[in-house]
Amino acid sequence: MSKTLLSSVAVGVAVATILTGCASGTQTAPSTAASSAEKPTEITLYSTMVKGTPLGTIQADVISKFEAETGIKVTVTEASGDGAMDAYEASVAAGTEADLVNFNAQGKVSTWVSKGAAVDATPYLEQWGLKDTVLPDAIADWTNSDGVTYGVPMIGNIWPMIWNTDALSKAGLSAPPTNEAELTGAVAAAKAAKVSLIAAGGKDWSGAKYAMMVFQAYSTADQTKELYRNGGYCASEPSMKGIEYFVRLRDAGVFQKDAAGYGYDQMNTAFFTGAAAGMHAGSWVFSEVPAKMQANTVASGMPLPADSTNKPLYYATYGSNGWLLSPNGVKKSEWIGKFVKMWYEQDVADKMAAAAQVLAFSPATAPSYDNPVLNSALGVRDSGQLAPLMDSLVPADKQQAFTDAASGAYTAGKTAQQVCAALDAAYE
Amino acid sequence: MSLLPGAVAGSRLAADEQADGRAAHNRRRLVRRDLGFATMTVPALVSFFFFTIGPLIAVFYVSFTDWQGILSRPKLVGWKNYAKVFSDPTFWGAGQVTAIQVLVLVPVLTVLSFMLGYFVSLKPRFGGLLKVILFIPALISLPVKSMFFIAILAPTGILNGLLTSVGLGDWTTAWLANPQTALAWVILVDLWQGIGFNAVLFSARLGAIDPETFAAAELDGAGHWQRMWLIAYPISKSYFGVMAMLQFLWTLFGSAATILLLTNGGPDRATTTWSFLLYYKAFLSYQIGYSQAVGVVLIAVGLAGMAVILRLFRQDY
Repeated sequence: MSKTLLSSVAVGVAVATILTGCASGTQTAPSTAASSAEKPTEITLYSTMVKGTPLGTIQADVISKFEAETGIKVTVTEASGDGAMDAYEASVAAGTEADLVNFNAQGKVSTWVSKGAAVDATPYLEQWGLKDTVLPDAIADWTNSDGVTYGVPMIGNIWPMIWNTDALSKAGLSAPPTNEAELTGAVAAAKAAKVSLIAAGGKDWSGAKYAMMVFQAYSTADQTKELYRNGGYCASEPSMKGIEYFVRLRDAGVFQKDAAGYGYDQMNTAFFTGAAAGMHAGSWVFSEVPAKMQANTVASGMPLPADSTNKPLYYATYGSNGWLLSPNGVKKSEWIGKFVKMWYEQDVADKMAAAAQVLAFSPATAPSYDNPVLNSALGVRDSGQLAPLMDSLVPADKQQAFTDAASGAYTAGKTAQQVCAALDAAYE
Repeated sequence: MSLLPGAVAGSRLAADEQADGRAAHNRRRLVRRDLGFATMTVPALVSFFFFTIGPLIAVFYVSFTDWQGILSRPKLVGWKNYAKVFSDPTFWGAGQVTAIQVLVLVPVLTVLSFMLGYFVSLKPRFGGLLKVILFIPALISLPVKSMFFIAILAPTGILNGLLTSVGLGDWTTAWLANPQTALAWVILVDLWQGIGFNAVLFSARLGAIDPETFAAAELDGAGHWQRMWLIAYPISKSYFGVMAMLQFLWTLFGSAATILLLTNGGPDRATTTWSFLLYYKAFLSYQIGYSQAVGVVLIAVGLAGMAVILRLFRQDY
């Protein structure tokens, strides 16, 4: 009996040791930038820019240039799939993480400084001479609710509605709809022409992000930010009116049939094949609009109800991709800084704009955009209103539940009250 | 020639001593041999301890902690996670989905695969080919299987295309995103994958029954149905129970993967089982303590279910 007890205790101690060992990677971020004394022979990079993609090609070019100039080898490990963040965290726990990583600003990435998986980027922005180069808005998208700047922004996107004017004309609209009446009024003609007005990816993040924008139809940016941080959708009059607006659009048939079953790829296909007249699209996808459709594709803000005082809404974010310096990278920070800085040079900015249709992240670089859809989208900034994104505002551990609740709004028959309750439940 | 009694006693004593010596020698040899064998099991025991018993204990330990992930330090919070789990409507909703999945899938799959296994055990023409065909679904990897069914069940997929082409366009729906149909399809996909595999296993067991038993029953006028359920089933009842138990455990603990790839637990949690909830809370919501409390409930339900199934299908002749 006592042997059994002793064995159990031993097992428990072993397990506890393993568990606490896993957490031993937690570190405190340095308040000032550390500089590297010796020139390293290698910099390791954990990158979401994978081979064969436009960004992956640019990355290969930048690495070649950096290696030629410094003689330092850059070793890339590709980060892809849903488990990429978990894999990085595991490497941090083991103390073997890459020196430099890039991810988007969403989810638990925003908590990595407090957990010791990345260091505060503020001193390095200064050390690397980027503090006055990067747009303040871009830095804001990489600053979490505790005021910690956890990454150096690299890619920005604008995310408006885009419309196929040929398909719109089949629905009797000569220009993108600007209000609820135009949208719902065109449903019958669109159905008769076997065209959907708006394609939405109602089963994943793409539809969720669009729904979150519709929910903001009556809210100010500050009200939306407060809701993102703490919830309270059912108790907020403007948010309830926004959710009711979404339900009206859904029930009127503005979205394609069975929108709840569509994912991001299927939404794109519906638009690219002309089966849908419009969709909510980030600028990363503009280069994929078929060449024959590009001239007929225009961007706009989101159509609003007549009694909304907002301007047509759109998203823009600099959180699509950014650099995070790992604890292991601190001792090579001087050289990593040289690498990161290369991404802000004019020729790279031009390549990024041409290949990936990304926004300039620095007032110093003015890339030339030759994609007509992107140029149309950039015009939306003048007439529209920037809608806050959830990415760095909804707490990391609530983001998945919140996204699921928002995409659940596409389910037929769901009431505004049920939608708001689901959104609030994500905060419990 | 006769020996004196004392000499006889002495020689017996010597013989006994000799025998005792041989026995002691044999015992030592056996102990040495057993120790040798035992030493060879040490790597397996160590690996079993660290990779099976350790994680099992860790499930219980973690369920009493607030732990947000590998980079955070777990904090002991007592029964808080259990209180949260049992007051969470999502947990009870997932319990309902789990119950439906288990109560539909396990009996239907076990009975159908037993019947199919009986047919295969009769060695019909092309029986070998049939076995291969039945095994194919089990050879298809989960992601491929999921892609296959998504292609069929997507709003613009094959099933809706077929319905539209035969004038039943009003019946089309997003099968995996409709709360009324999503769980049914998840269960059907598991049935599709499991029936053939289990049937082959059943056929192996039923094939071992003496054919004369069936021949005698046939002479007595028993048809296939009687031979299947009044002869084959009672003879293989405990095997039937083991298959039902394994299916129960696979369904209870392993449903998360199929659900993740087909429906991601939606729509509106309509396909969120306890197994998927465990994954969701651990990997997407970073509530590992909560997720392991669900894991402990799963273990308890799994053990209780095993006991009930084994009791129900105890060999009783």
